[in-house]
Amino acid sequence: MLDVAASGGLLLFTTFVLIPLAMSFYVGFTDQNPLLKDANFVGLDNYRELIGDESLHRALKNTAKLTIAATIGANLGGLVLAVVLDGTSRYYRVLRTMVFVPQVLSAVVVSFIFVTILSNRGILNSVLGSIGLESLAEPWLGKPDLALWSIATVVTWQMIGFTTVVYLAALQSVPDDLLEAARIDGAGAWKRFSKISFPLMGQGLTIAVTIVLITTLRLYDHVAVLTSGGPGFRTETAVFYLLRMGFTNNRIGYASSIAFVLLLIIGSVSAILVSLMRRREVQL
Amino acid sequence: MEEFDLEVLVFETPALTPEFWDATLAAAAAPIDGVNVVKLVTPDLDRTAYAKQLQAAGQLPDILAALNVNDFVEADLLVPYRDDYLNEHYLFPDATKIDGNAWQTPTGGQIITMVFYNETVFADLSLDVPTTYAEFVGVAQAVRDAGFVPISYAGAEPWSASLTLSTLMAVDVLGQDPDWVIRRTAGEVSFSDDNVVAAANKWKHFVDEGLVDAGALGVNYDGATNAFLDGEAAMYMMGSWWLGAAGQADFPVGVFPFPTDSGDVVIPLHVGGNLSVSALAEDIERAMQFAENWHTDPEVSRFLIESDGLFVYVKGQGAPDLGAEVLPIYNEAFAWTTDPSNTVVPPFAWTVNDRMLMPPGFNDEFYAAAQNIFLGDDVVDEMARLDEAFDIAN
Repeated sequence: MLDVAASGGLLLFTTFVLIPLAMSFYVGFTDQNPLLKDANFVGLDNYRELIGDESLHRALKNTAKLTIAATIGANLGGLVLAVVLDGTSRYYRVLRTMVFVPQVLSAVVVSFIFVTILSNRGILNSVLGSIGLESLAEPWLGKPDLALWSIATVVTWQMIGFTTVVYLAALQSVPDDLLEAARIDGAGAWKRFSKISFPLMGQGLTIAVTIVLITTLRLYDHVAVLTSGGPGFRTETAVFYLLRMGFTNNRIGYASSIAFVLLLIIGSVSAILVSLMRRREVQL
Repeated sequence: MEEFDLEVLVFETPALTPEFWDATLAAAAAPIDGVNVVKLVTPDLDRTAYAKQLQAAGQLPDILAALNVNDFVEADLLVPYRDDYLNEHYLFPDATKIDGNAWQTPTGGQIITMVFYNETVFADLSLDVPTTYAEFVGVAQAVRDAGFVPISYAGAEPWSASLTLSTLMAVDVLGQDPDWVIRRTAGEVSFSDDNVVAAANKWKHFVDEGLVDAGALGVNYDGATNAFLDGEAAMYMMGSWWLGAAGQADFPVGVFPFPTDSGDVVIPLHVGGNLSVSALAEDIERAMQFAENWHTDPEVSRFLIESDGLFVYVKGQGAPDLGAEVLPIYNEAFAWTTDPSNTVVPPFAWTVNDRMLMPPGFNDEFYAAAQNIFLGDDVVDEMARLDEAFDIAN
C-alpha cells in the first residue's frame, strides 16, 4: 500500500515538478518567444547576458533587501506576538485569530488595501495631516527607497500571522514541568524564556525563517499591485523582472535562464540556512 | 450549425464595466447560430502580456480586446478585417493598418493627452486659457503661486506617469516629423537628438518648477482624478476618455489642447479599435462575424461615446447621429481633431500602425524614463538609455 502511495507521489512530482523544471532548463538555452512555436538553440548566450544585465542585478539587490527586511521583521514580530499571546483564555484565542487573518488573505487583496493606506492621498498621510504631523507625510510608494521599505512592511505584516502561529505552537510544546522547575528555582520570566523556551523553539524557528525567506525571494504579487515595479523599475524584484522579460519583451528563453539562476539561489540559500539552523535545534 | 464556445478576452475598468461587456457581447453573438460566448477578464490592465501568457500555454482566446497587436501580427496569430467591411463602415478605414491590413478596426479616436482645467480657479485668478507653451508654463506658475497644485498628475502607474512625456514627444517631435518612429527604427534619428532631448527637458522643467506635485509618483490614476475633482489641482492632463467622466466635477470644466512653442495646434490623436480575431480560433468565420457585429452595434458606440469619451469613427454612429448625451467639452475637443488648420499626430508609445511600430517591451522603458526624469535622473543619460533599450529590443 505504501509502495503504491509512494509511486503515485513520485509520478505526480515527476509530472508536475521535475519535467517542467527540465523543460524550463532547456528553454533557457533557446531564444524562445511566447508567441512562436519554434525557437533557436543559443547555447550559453542567455547566461552570458544575465551576468552583465544591470537591470537584473538591481532586481536581485531589491530582492535581497526585501528578503532580509521581511525575514527579520516577520520573525521578530511573530516571536514577540507569540510570547504576548501565549495564554489560554478565550480572549487570547480571539486575538490569535485576529493576528492570523492577514495570512489567509491573498497578497493581491492585502496589497490593494495598503495602496489605499500608503498612496499620497491615502489614509496614512491623511491621519498624519489630521494630527498636525503633515511634515511626516511622504509619497510612501513614490520614492524608490521608501517604496521598497513600504513593500517590505506590507510583506512583513502579512507574514507575521504565519510566524506567530508557528512560534506559538513551538512555545506551547515546551514541557510545563521544565518551566515549573525553573520557576521554583527562582528563574524570572525572561530567564525562563531565554534559557528554556527559546532554545527549545529551534524547529519552529527553522520552519518560520525558511518559509518567510523562500516566500520573499520569489516575491511578485505585492510588488505588482503596490508599485508595478516602479518608479522607474526601481522596486522590481527578480521574479517581477523575469516575467517582464518573458511576457512583455517576448524573451521566454532569457526569462527561463533567469528563473533557473533564481532557483539555484533560493535552493542554495535555503539549504545553507536550514543546515545552520538545524545545528542549534535542541532535542529533548 | 454546430455549437462552439467563443472565448473573448476583455478588460474591465470603471468605464468599461462588466455589465457593458456582458450586454454587448451577448448582443453581438445573438444573430450568429451556435455561438456561446465565454467572457475572460484580464487580471490587470496589461491585456497584451496576459494574452501572451495564454498563448504560451496554448490557450489563446478567439477574440482579444484592445491588444497591442504588433507582436501578434508578426507571429501570424491574428486575422485581418476585410477591406470591404472597413470601407463600408469606417470613416478612416486605413488608420490602423500594418503592412496593408487592419488587425483592429479604426473604431474611434482618443486625444492622448489634453488639458482639463477648473474654470472657477482660472476665473478667480484671472487666468486666460494658454495658447503657447510659454503661456501654459506662466499659467501653471501663477496657479502654483496661488497655493494650488497646478497640474494633477498620476505618476504611480507607469502608463499614466508617461502621459506628459508622451504628449511632449508627440507635439514637439512627431508634430515636426510624423515619420520619426520609422526613421528611429532605421537608425536615422535618435532619442539623443537635440529636439528629443529638448522635449524631455520640458518634462524635467515641469517637475523642477513644481508644476506637478513633488509626491506625484505616489499618486495613482484615481488619486489624481480625485485631486482635480476635489479642487486641489487647477489642471489635469489626461486622455480624452476623461471627457466621459468630467461631468462628475461640481465646478465647470474647460479643456484646451497641450500648447506648442509656436501656438500652432498639434493634436496627439490615437485611432484604434477594440477586438482582434485570433487566427487560431475554432471557427474563424463566426468569430469574425461576432467581432464585426460588436463593432458596428450602435449601442456599443453610444456607450463608448458617453462613458469613455470616444470619438467614434463608425459611419453614421457619431455622437450627433446617435443623440448621445455628451458634455459641450466633448464637442469642443472633437472639433480640434477635424479642424484642418490643426496638425494631427499619433501619440507616442500608444498608437500601433505602420508609422508607430515600437519594439516589444519598449513602451515600458519609455514609461520608466518619464518616472526616472521625475526622480532627477539626467535627461541626456535617460535618452541614451532609451536609445540602447530601443536597439536591444529591436
